Formats: sequence, C-alpha cells, structure tokens
Amino acid sequence: MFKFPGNSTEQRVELISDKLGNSMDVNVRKFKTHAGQAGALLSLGGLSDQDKADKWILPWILQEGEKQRITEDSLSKSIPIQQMKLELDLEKVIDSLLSGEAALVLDGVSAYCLLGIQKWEHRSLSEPMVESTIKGPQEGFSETLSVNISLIRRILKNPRLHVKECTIGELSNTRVAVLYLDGLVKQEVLAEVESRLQEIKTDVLLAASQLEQWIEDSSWTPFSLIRSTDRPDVTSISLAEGKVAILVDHSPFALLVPFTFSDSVQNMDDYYEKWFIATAVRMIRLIAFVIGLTLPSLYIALVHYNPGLIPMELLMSMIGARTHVPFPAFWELILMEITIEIFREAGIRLPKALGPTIGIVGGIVIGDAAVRANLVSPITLIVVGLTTMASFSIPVYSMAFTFRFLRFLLTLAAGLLGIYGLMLGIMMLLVHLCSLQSFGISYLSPVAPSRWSDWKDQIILGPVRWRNKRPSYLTEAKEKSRWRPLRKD
Amino acid sequence: MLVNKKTVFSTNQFIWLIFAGMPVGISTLPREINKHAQQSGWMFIIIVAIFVILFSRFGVILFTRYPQQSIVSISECIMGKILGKLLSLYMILSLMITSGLGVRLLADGLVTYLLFHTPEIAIILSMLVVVFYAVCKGAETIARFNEVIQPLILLSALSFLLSIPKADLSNFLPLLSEQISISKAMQNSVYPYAVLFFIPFLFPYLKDSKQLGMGMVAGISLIGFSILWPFVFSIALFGATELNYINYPTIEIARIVDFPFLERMEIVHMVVWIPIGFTLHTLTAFTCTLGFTQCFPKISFLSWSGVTIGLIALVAILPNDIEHTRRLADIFSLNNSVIMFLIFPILVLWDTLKKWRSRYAVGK
Repeated sequence: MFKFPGNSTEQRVELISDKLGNSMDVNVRKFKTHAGQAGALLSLGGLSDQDKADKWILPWILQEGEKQRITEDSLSKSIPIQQMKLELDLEKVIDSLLSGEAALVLDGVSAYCLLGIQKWEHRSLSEPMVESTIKGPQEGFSETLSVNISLIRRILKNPRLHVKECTIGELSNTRVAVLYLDGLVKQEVLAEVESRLQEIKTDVLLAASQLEQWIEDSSWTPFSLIRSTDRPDVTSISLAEGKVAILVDHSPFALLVPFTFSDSVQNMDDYYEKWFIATAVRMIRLIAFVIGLTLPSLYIALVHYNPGLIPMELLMSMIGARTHVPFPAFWELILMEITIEIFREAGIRLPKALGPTIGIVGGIVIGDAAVRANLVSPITLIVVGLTTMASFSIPVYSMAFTFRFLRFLLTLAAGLLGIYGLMLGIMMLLVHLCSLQSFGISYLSPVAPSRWSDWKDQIILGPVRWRNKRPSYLTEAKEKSRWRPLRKD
Repeated sequence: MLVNKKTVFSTNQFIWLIFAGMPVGISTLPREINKHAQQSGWMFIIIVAIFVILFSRFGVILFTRYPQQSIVSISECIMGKILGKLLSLYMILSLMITSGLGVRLLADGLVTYLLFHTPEIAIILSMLVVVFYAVCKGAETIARFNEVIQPLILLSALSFLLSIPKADLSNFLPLLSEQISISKAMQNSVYPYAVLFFIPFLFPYLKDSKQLGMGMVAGISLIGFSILWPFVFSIALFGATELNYINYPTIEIARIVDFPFLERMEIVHMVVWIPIGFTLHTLTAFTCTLGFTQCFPKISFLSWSGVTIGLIALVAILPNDIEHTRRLADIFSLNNSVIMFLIFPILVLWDTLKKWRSRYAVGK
C-alpha cells in the first residue's frame, strides 16, 4: 500500500518506531549536517552491520552535507553502499528493516533510502549432517539463505541459473528462494511450484520440512514426494537434471522437486565411484530396501503359516531357539521392533556423547539379556537387527522412516493372512506407489511409465560417457553432452 | 494441482494390460491340452495364438471405424441405444461373474496349499478390498501397476529352466500324436484368451489403431508363450501319459526343481498365483466399473466401483462348494468364448451392412 511519509525526520522516525512497537532493538542514530539538514539512520540491532554504518555511511553524510543539502540525486549517485534503493512505501521500508537493511531518513528527501548492510551472526559452514559422502565435498548448507544460494552458484557458474524470491508467513515473512536452470526445467513444473507457494497461508514458516508439507502432492501417503537435502552438490546436480530447488531462510535444507522413487536409491558417492561399483552398491541398496520392508513379515508368515518352506535344518534350529520363549513369534517380533524404535528415538534425543553408549547398552546389553531371559529368541533378534540396519542403508533419510512404518503394516498383514497377506500388502503398496505423482511426474519413473534410456542413470549406473542424456521425464532439454571418443595417437 | 491430462496408455502399458488378462487357471492347462492332444499340444497352442492374433483384427476394424470410443458407444452406434446397452451390460456381467468365480477358485487353491484352516471368505474379502483400492485409483495407476508387476510374473517362469537337467526331449516324439481331438484341444487352448473382450472397454485410452494392433499382437503372443512354456516343460519332464494324472503340472515342475536352501520351491511358485489373480481381478473389476460408468454416466465411477466389487464378492460367495464353482466357471468360460469370438465379427458385419444400406439408400 502506498503511503506518503510525514514531513520531518522526527515525525517519520516516530512513525517507524511506532510501527515496530517502540522495540528496544530499534537503533536510531540522529544527526544534523553542516548545512543544517536533519536526518536519522534506522536499523535493527543484530541484523545490520553497525561497523559499515560508522565507517562508510555516516562519514559520507557528513562530507556530502558539509556545504549543501543532500538530495535524492546525490544519494543515488554517490552513497558508497552497493545495495541502495529509494522507497516511498512505509510498509516496504518496515519489511526491509526487518530483513536487516538500514533506512536513512533526511529532511527534504521524501523517500526513505534503504541501504543493504545486513549482517547477523550465523553458523559457519559445516559438514552435511544427514547425507554424508566419502569422496564428495564436505560442505553442507547453513541457515542463511544468501550463503546457501552462493554455495550453489559456486558449483553452477551459469547465467541460466535463475533465482526467484518470495516471502511466506504472515508473521515470519520467511524468505523462500526458487532456483532452476532456465531452458532445462519443465515449465509446467516450475509454474506448479510457484502456484503452490503462492497458495500457502500460514503465520510462521520455520523450516524447509514445514514447507514440504504445504506443497507436497498428497498428505495421505507415507512416502516423501519431495526430496530434502543438506548438500549443495546434490542440489546442483538435481538442478542440472531439470529439477527445481526451493531454499528457505533459516533452514539448512533444500527441497528438490519433482522427486521419484528411484532418487531414493541414489547417493552422491555413486557418481564419485566407478560405474560398476556404483551399480553394485545400488543393487545392494535395493536388496536392503526389500529386506528392510519385508523380512519381519516374511519371517512371521513362514514361522506361523508355512514352516514347511524353511529348510529342515534351519527350522530345527529355529524351533530349538524358540522353545523357551513364552510369546508367539508375532508378538515377540513386534515387541522387539518397538524396543528398537524406542532406542532409536532415545538415541536422537540424547546428547551426542551419550548416543553411542545408548547404542551399546540397547543393542548388546539389553539384547543379550533379553535372549538369556528367554524373552526373545536369537533368530528374532537377528531378523530385527538386520531389518533395522537395512532400513538405514536408504540414502534419503525420510524414506527410512517410511519403510519402518510400512514394515509394521506388512508384519500385521502377514500375521493375519501369512504369505497371502504379505503378498496382498505388497500389491496394495505397489498400487499406492503407482498412483503417486510428484509435481505431475509419476513417482515410479522411469520404471512406470517405462523409459529404458533413463535406466542407465536413474536405476543402474552406466559408464559416465553413456550417461549423456538427462532424465526425459524431468527436463525439456534431454541432451547432456556430446561425447566424442578421444583420438588415439 | 496440475491439470489432469487425458489418460493415454503407452504401447508398453497396453501390452502388459492384455497380458494381465491371462487367468490363473493356466496352471492346470498343460494337463487339459495334453488330454486331447498329448505331446502335439504345443502345435495347438501356437495355432490358436496365431488365430487369436488374426481374430483381433476385428477389434482393430471397430477401433478404426469408431476411434477412441468404448465398446458401449460403439455397440450403441451400430445396434441402437437399447440393444447396444444390453450387449454391453451382458459383457460386463459376464466379466464380473468370471471374476467372482475366479476369486473363489483362487481362494480355494490358497486354502488347499497355503492357508490351511483359513476361512475362504477372509481370503475373498481381503483380496477384493485391495482390488477396490486399485480400481478407485483409476486407469493410469492400473496401467503403471501392470507395467511393473507383469514383467516380474513373466520372469518367474524362468525358474522352470532349473529343471532342464531332468528334461527328456524324446517325450515329444512322435511329433504328431495318434490320439488327437482337434476340437477339444482347440477349445482348451482358447480358454486363456476368453476374457480378452475387456479390451474394447479400454479403447478410449488408446492413441491409434496402430498402437492397438501392435499391442494386441504382442500381448496375445505373450499369453501364448505363457501357455507354451509350461506345456513344453510338462511334456519334457513328465511325458504325455504321466501328465494326464497330474492336477497342477506347473506346481509339479516347481516341485522337482532342485534349488539349494529352498526345499519346497512349489510354494514360491504358488505365491506367483496371487499377483496373477490379483492383476486379472483388478483389470476385470476396473473394466466392469468403466463399462457401468459408460452405460450410466450419471452415477459416479466410485459408486460403480463399490457396486462392482460388491457383486463380484457376492458371486464369489454364492456357489455351494468348489465343484459347484468349477461347473459354473466352465459354463462361463464357454459363454466368454462365445462373446469373444462371435460378438465382434457380428458387430463388424452389422456395421458394414448398415453402411452399405445407407450408401445404397443415398444412391437410390
């Protein structure tokens, strides 16, 4: 809303202070030049660089105003601050002050002069906490939006990298940046991202994971439909594939859309290893997926309904181990699964130094004691342990939670109807996966709809020189590079 | 939300959808074909597959004349509103009853081999709940689902290769058996294609007649291969005489496979029945729902899917016992073959005559 500011500096400063509730962190530095022009420099403590104000802005004002009054023209031409703009709208001035800019008010100058001297305390860059790699860069996102954008720009030094900004949150006015590579991104996906962001109506937006829940395609699925990463290299490579990245101020995570199920088997280390090793590792991850999801339910189905399928020697040893256990296998397994979940939850909440201790106490001491006390059989312990480890081999953190949740449902299905229940559960899960979309892209791409050419990058990993096409479902420009064989001398 | 584009199947998806029309009953088929053709049965399987491929041309002709229209509107255009609708409803009911009986047969098989003492009703209802969920998700989901699951089902047949060391190719000699009942061997070989009349309900989801033609050839060939493969192994492993006494030859093949660690391979093989049955019942239930919605568009797809699943459940529960179910299944198998091999030529002929008549009338 356009508002013409009051006449004198005094009135205008008072107006701004009122708007900000006369807060104690509003810094007002009033001055009068030699030419008799009164003025004030307003900023919010802890958000603006006071050093810059003292060293550059105030000396310039005194020097410029020594012989004549400072005008809008002189402000825009010679003030020694790179980010400077003149603003008449008081609401915008308030927003800028809240974002850390300083506002210069001068008698006779109707506009407010906004100076980009933001500076606040922030955490320095550190290793990514969630997605770690062995050979990749060890630099993760921080909580500062501009720093995070610069980290991506350092990797993608390309003018086609566009950044659009908006604010979300009636009270928090959180800055949100949408990044994409022009010419690569699918326009309909970009338009969808923008429209979903515009639709958000909330008071406070704290983090990227909160935004994720606002813009995901369906709230009724346990699967993540948006990828969250704390790695600039993952974000950059995703942008280069045609995806859209969304960064939120105060959040060390980037949201990547569209997200497909095949993305969850990918890890940055795959791209730093030889292709056949990376492919083998991906296959191991896929096996871990299957184990993490179905091993407990398969165990229940076999033990309860079809023990005949278990090889005789193994069956005998299992029966021997379970002889003194008072619970049915189903309840024994559920009990252990819940115990593991409690240990895991406790491990996250406890101080870092205590985490490994809890692991040892929980895993070895209590596990061993439970077996000795005949509360659980060793085979159940092995099943639960292997399943837990398998679920953590999934590179995308949120997917591990999904798999653990689904594991309980499949165990219940197997407990009710054995292998048939398990198969029905898997069918239902598969139907659900097939019905999912992420920003209009099928969640099971490139398996369904099948695009064989995309498999060599998305499912397995072909030699680097074969991976010369971007995923066809993500981008409008499919060609990645035109490789010519090196000339042999 | 993104604007929903019109769902169009890819050729790949369409092929797997046709393949999904293969009934679970093919597990007993080698014995049935062997009864009437012995070791020469493989020839009938190939000849019938070729015949069905050629026959599918009628579907392509109908699609070319009425592009992207469902059989409901095609039959209404050709036969008039009332007759056309009645024909569509007859086809839908036949599919529904076949599906219901199929669910009951599957439940019986599972109780016999996998889930002893489990009430059949629990198996039937749990299957139909998941089928209902799949149907509600719509055409695109079902197409994608089949695209994922059907190749895996097909791959599972490769497990028969493990039995090769025990195979005896001399069982195929003489190539032409002396006791061949051509009509009965043909009739048995036709059975796996009997529910393929669901395809014209899916016409609105196809791009063009070329896709339809290609899809039909590939899909029918895959079904043909799926019958041929266990038949060849059954003869090679058991011989024509012994095969007559084996109820489920595919299970017996799996039973004689020596695979380290898995002592009872046949149960692993039987597990594959579940997705085969599930995909078929999902497809038929979806087609019936689609057909009902096309006939009576004022009632929503979701409501019709509830009605369809309810009726299928009723059909599955009603037969007194398994023998009763089998008798009914045989009757409806014959009924489906009639629909499959009579109605489409009649429709094409009727339409051609109608066009000639109108041309003649204009000329006059």
